[in-house]
Amino acid sequence: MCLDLTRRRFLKGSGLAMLSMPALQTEAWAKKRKYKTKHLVMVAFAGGVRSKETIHTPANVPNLMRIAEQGVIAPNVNVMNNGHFGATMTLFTGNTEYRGIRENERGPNPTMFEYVRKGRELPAETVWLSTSGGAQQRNLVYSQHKDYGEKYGANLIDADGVFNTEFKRVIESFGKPSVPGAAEEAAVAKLRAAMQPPPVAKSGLANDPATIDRLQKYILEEIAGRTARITGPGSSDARALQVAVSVLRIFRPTMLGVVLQNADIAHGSYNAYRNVIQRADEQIGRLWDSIQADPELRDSTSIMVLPEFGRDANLNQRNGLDHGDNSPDLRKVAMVAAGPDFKTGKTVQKECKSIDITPTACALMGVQSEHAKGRVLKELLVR
Amino acid sequence: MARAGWLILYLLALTVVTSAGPVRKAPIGSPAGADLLFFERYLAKGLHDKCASCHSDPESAGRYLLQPLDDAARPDHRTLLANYRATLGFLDADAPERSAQLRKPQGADAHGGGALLDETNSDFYEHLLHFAMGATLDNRPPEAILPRRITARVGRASDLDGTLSGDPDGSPIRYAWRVAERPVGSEATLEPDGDGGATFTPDVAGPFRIELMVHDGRLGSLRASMLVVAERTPRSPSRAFTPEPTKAKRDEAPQRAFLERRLDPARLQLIRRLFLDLKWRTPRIDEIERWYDVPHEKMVAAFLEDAETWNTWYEQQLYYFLLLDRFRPKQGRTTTLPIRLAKRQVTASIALREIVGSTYFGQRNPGNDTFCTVVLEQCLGLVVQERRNLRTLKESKKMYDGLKAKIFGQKGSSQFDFVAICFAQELASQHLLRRTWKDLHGTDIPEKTLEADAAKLHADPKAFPAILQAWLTGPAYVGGVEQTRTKPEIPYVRGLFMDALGRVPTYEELRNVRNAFLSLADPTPIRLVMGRVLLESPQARMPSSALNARRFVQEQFVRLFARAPSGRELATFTESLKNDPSVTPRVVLWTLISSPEYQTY
Repeated sequence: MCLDLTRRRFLKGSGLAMLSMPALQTEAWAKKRKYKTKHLVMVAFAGGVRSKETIHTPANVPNLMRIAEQGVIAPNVNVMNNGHFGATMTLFTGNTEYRGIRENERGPNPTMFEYVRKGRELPAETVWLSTSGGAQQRNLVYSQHKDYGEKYGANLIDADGVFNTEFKRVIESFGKPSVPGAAEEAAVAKLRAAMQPPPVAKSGLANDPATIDRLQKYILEEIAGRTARITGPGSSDARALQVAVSVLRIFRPTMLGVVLQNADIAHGSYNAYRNVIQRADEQIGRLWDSIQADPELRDSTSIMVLPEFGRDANLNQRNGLDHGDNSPDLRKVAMVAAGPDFKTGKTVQKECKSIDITPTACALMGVQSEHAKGRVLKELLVR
Repeated sequence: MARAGWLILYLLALTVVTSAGPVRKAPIGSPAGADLLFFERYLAKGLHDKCASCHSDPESAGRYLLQPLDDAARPDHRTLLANYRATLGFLDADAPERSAQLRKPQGADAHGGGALLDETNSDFYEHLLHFAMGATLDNRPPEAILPRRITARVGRASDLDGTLSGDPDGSPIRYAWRVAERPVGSEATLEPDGDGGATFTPDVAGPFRIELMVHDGRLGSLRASMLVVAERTPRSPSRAFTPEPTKAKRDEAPQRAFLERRLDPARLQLIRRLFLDLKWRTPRIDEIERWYDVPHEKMVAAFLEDAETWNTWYEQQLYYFLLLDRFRPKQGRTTTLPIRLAKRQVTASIALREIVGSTYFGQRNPGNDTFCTVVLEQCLGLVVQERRNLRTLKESKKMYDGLKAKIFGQKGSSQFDFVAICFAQELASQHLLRRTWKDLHGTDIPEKTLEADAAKLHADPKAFPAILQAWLTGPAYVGGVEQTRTKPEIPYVRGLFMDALGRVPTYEELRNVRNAFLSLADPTPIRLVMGRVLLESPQARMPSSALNARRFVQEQFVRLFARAPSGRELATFTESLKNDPSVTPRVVLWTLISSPEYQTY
C-alpha cells in the first residue's frame, strides 16, 4: 500500500476505482439477485428508545412516520438483552450478544458488513458505519470470527471523535497542513523509489490510495465545516447522521450503518430524552430526503430504523427512564423500514426478533448470513 | 395598574437574581446564573436581531424559544424575562466558554454555513460570554492572558508572564497559577511573585500545561493556558525517570560513532518495541545509543523501575475502565500510582483497588448495578449477563447496598466488602495477566503460563513485576519482535509527537488526536493529516542549515524505522539532501513518516 497522497495518484486511483472490479462485480451480482435493493442504510436508533415515544407518539417523529408511510412498520420486534453494546451488536450480527457494559472488544460473530463484503467481494470503500458513541461502537465494524474479521470490515467514521471543536483546535494550534506541490511530490517519489520494500504487517482493513485521498480531503473539509459545529443535547447523534449523509454523497456505499446513542440521556431526564428523539428524527428525515433527492439512490436504496431496546415502563426517581425492568416497553421495539423491496404503508403485527435484522439486511443485499440465528423477515417484503 | 404589575414582576425577578450573591457558580438554568440588567442592556436586542427570526417560531425554534420583541429598543419586561430565562438554559456556569449559547452557528446560513460564535471577536460574542460568566452593568469579568508556548530547560528557572492580564473595570486583580498537566514523575511547582509573574523550574523533560486565572474580587476570569516544553540540557540533573544520556552531547555531534557502527537490526527493533510497548513512545536517538549495548535483561529491569512504564500501565487500566476524558482522575492519590508502582510501594492489585475505589470510578459507574457489573466484568473477566453469573451479580448488588450477602463463598455487607472479596479471587490475577500478556504480545496467553503465573501472583501480589520481567525476556516476546505489527493508536500518536516535535503530547493533545484516530476504521488518512500538521508546525525539530546530511539520514532511519539505511537509501537520501533544493530535512521526514514502514513496529 502506498501512502503518499498526490493528485496524480488520486486521479489514477479514482479512475481505476470507477472502472474496475466493483462495477463488474455489481453487474454479475445484479443478474443473480432476488431483490431490487442495491444500497442499504441501517440506522440503529440506539440508546434505548421506547415505541411509546416513536410510533405511538407520531408528533415526536414526523419524519420517521413519513418514511413509514412509504414503507412498513414492524411494531413487535423482540429484543433479548438490555445492555447497549450487546443489544446493538445483536442488530448487526443476528445473534444474541451478551457483552459487558464496559466491554470494549469485538464480538465473536460476523457482522452484516462482513457478510456483505465477503459475500460480494466488495472493496472497503463500499461499506460504511457512522457512529456517535466512541470506543464501544467502533467494535461493530468487524468481528473476531476467524473466517471474517478486519479484512471484511466496514469503513468507520465516528463523528464524535473526529469532527469536534476540540480536535479542530488541536489541528489549529499547529497550523493547517499544506497540499504538497509538484516539486515536493517529485522529491518524495524519488526518495521513496530508493527505499526497500516495507515489512508486511498483519493485514487489516485497507483502503486504496484514491479512497485514502478522498477521505483525507473529506476529513479536512468536515473539520473546518459544519459537522464539527453541531453542539448541544443529541449532537453526537446529529453528527453521526450528518456524516452518513456525506458518506452517501461521496462514496455511495452499498451498505451504510448508523449507530446513535444519545437517547440514553433518558436515565436522567425524560424531557431531554424526548428532545433527543425529536432531533434524531429530524436528521433521519434529512438522510431520507437526501436519498430521495438522488436519482441513483432513490429507487435502489432501502432503509431500516430501529432501536436496540426500549426503556422501562415507569419513570425513575430522577424523572428519567432506565432500562432494566424487562417490561414490554423495554423488550419490544418498533422498526420502520422502507425501500424498493418493502411493502408500502403497512403495519405488520407479526412477532419477530432483533436477531432477524441481519438476515433480512443480508438477504436484501443478496448474501447469506451463515452464522446468524435469526430469519429473513419476509412478511415485510413485497416478495 | 398593569404597568405597576409588570414593575413588581421585574423587581421580583431582579431580587431573585441579585440576592443570590456571587453568581458564577450558579447552576445551569438558574435565574441566579447571570444578570438581568446586563441581559437587557447588551443581549436582548442582539438576540432579537440575530436569532429571533428562527427562534421565535415554535416550528423552527427547537429547544430555544424566544419571544419576539415588539420594540427591540425598549422591550417589555415580560418578554424580556421570558427571553432571559430561555437563554439561561443554554449557559454553563461551570465552564462559561463552553455554553451552548456561545457555540451556536451564525451567519447567512444559520445552521451550518456561518462561523462559530466562539470564533468571532464580535461585541455580541463578548457580551454573551460575559453574561455567562456573571457580568453585571458595573462589573465585567477580568481576563487572564498568557503567552501560548515557551521552551524551558530542565533544572533552570523560567519566568512566566501573566502581566498582560487585566480587568476592564480597572479593579485590582489576584492571580492564581497552577500546573494543570505535567510529565510523569514531575513534582515541579510554581512560585508566583504576586504581581502577575511566576517562576517555574521544570524538573523533568516534557510538556507542562500551566494555567492562570485572575479574580477581581467578584468575578473570576476564564483560565488561560500555556504550554511549557521542558528540554534537557547536557548538565541538567538526572531527576528524570527516563534514562539520561551519559556521554552524548545531543545538540552538538550526536551519536556520530554510534551511527557509523554496523548496527544489529534485531537489537534496534527490540529496543524500539520495548519503548513502544512499555512507554508508548518511540526512543530518542540518545536513548537508543544508551540501551544498545546494555543486556536486554538489564534494560527490562530498568524499565520496570521506571515511573514512565507504570504510567503507561496505569493509563491502560483507566482505558479498560473507560475512565477517560472527564472521568480520568485529575488529582488526588490515584494520580500518584505510577510513581508508587515504580517504587514498589503498591502492588498492581492494590493499584487496581485504588482506582476502583476512587471518586472518578464511582462517578463513572453510579449505582449498584453499574458498579458491580463493571467490577465483575473488568476486574474478574466475568460476563454478568450469562445465566451462571446472574446470581453473583444479584448478591453483589445486595452487598453493595449494605445488605448481608455472599459471593464467591465469602460473606460481606458493604461496597468495601464487595470490592475486597472480588480482588481476593484468583480470577482477578488471571484476568490481569491475561490482559497484560495480550497487550505485550498481541496474542492470547498460553493456558499453562496463565495457570502457573496466576497461582504465583495470587500467592504473592508483589510478584507482578517479576512476572513481567520473565515475560519480556522470554522467547515469546523476544522472538515475537520478528513479527511486524501495526502500531496501536496511542503509541503511534505519542511516537509521532516524539519523532516530529521531540516531545510527547500533553494529555489534551493526546486525547483529542487519539479520539480522532480511533474514529476511523482505517486511520491512515488522519494519521497522514496529523503527520503533516506536526512536521509543518513551527514546533517541529528540524536541523540547522549546517546539516551533516549523511548523519541526518542515518539518524532518521535508526530513530523512525529501527534499522540502518541500506546503501542505496543512504546514498539517494544523502545526495538528494546535498544537491536537490526541493529535498529538505522536512521532506525527508515526511517521506519516512508517510511510508507504510512507519505504520508498523
